[in-house]
Amino acid sequence: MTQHIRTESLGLPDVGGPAQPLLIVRDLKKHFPVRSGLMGKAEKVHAVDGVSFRIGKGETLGIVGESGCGKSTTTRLLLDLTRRDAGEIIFDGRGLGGGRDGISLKELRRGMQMVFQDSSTSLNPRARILDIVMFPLRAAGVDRTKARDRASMLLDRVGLHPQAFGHRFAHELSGGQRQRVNIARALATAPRLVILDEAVSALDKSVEADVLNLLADLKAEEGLTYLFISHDLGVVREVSDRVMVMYLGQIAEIGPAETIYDRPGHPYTRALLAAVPSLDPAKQIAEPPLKGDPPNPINPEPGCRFRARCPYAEGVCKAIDPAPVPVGEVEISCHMCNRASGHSQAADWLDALTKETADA
Amino acid sequence: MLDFTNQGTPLLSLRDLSVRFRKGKGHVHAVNGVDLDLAPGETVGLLGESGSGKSITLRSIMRLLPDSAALGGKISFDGQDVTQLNRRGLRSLRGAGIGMVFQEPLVAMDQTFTVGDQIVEAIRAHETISRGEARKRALELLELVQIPSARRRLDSFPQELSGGMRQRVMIAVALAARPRLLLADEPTTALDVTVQIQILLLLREIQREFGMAMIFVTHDIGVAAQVSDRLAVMYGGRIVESGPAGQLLAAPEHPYAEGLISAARGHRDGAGRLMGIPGRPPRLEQAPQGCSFAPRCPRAIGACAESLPELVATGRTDHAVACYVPTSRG
Repeated sequence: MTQHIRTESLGLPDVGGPAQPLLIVRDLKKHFPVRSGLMGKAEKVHAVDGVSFRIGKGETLGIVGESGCGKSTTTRLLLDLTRRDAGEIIFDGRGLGGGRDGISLKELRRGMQMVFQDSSTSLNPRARILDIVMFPLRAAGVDRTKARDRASMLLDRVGLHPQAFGHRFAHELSGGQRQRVNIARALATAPRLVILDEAVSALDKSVEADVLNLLADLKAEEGLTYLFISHDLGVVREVSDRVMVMYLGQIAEIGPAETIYDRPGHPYTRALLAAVPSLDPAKQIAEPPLKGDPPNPINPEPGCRFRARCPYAEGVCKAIDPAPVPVGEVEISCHMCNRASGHSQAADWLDALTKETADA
Repeated sequence: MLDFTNQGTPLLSLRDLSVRFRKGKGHVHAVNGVDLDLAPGETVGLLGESGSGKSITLRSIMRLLPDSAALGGKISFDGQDVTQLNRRGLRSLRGAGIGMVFQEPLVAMDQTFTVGDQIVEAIRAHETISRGEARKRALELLELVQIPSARRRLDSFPQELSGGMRQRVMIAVALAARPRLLLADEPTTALDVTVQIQILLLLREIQREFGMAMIFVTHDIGVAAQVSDRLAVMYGGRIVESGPAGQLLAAPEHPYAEGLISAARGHRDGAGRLMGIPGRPPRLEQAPQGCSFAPRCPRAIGACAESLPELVATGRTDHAVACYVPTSRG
């Protein structure tokens, strides 16, 4: 019988019940000031610009997007590692900093933990593995003996025998083993939401599967909820229930993973998926779906962020910022997905998209 | 010895290539007997995971190895033995004969020189032409690698460019002396996927247009499939399987290649679990006695641990595998 990670004394209770989303994020914003040029003209990088989403209990939400899309900043804002300029963060029905019924930052951080990309910097090179996993527990006030027992249990749960690995140092482990330590450490204080920020990106493909299987097991056995960020679109499809596609600080499209991968509704999602090389040389890509690099979100002009690279951009895309519109279970921020937007191709685009859905 | 190309004299040929590094009191056996032939104009994708020896193999062709490395075996490029070249011979080989692009353009380029100066330098290192002539050629090269407003970009510094643009400049520098072989070491790994495909298509286009041969080192099977005529899969410092890209990916013979390809395809077993390869990569402190993959191999037999399987023809066109129990015989 495996021992559960959640205990009476550690971790936050489920207050909202199963129907209450574990996390609700409303209109999250972060604009970083930058100085450019000789005269130091003040400009702002709109790193995260009005992002709203929710994650159900026990769900995995994947975030995809290219550099500068704001996926990593979003996760940092959730944990208040970077202070947000605006927006609400509601954990299990309790708003962060929301007065008497709210949740404190300290509680939030016990409820939400993060696993970063494996690197030589993610684990203290001078600490033994057991101490690394004990550290968050000691910081949370757990006494030494209990912390040691729990750290051993956690190492065992992530597939590292505590007697064999507890006294080793990070450099003595393989990449996959180090990432298991990172997972054990993140789970130490029994979080309910685990943010996996490029958590398997540094691993070889042959090792990655084992770590993903471990994450799936832990999720099922512990009732965890995941926010999974990766630049690898294939991996995100494998692990996610729902997917959120970001472009220059905003959400382009969000919905069930299968629908988005099979029938992407936003032209950006379509291009992004079309750019992934196939394992079948007979299906080689002949033309790049997009030209140029993703631009910087510095002082963006009004209108759709994607319009500069979008083959379908029209006047309306320049004039009006597209609001998210529901198409089936997916929400898409594109004027072509809104019949009333005035985009000349809206009707055709939507008809084609809903026909694909009906055919599926 | 196998001739994979069947096209007469290969442009590049590696025979029993080995690279050993001194490390502390011992050694790291990074490359352990690589045989590879490359025909003029052909692209081989050298595919492998960390520690497989793919990058070291590539660097040894240019003799870009640190002093702690001991190089063994034969490397012949265009009829000359690269291992015997002196400093001067190497200088003309690098650039004029063989160009190279890396993962990190910012590290590979001198940030205190403009883009134009870097290309001009690369041209003038191998040709006696005036600065003005060289600058004209530099502009043509920037246009060739499809840099928008190329004339203006000649005066930019590398750090002023986006990741994709820097990679294009590095390709222009590598092409400056019209090499016959381009060595590419994970040149798109740090790029976004929509930029990656632009660079892959550009490399493929240039390679075909100039009839240039290319070795493309990558860990990404999709990327390898996009650019390669032929694939060579490396493990433990050896090529374990080699064959035409489509054929190898559709029906791999080596259990490691098979495992790697199913992992990349996201295959799941009967219980719905993603299929990886259990165990860990080989330790390279000793030269392999038997097959390096044997400890992780589901099909290993007694012989696998005892002697090294040689790369032998499978019977399929241009296909070879180094395994005692390849799929087709299993």
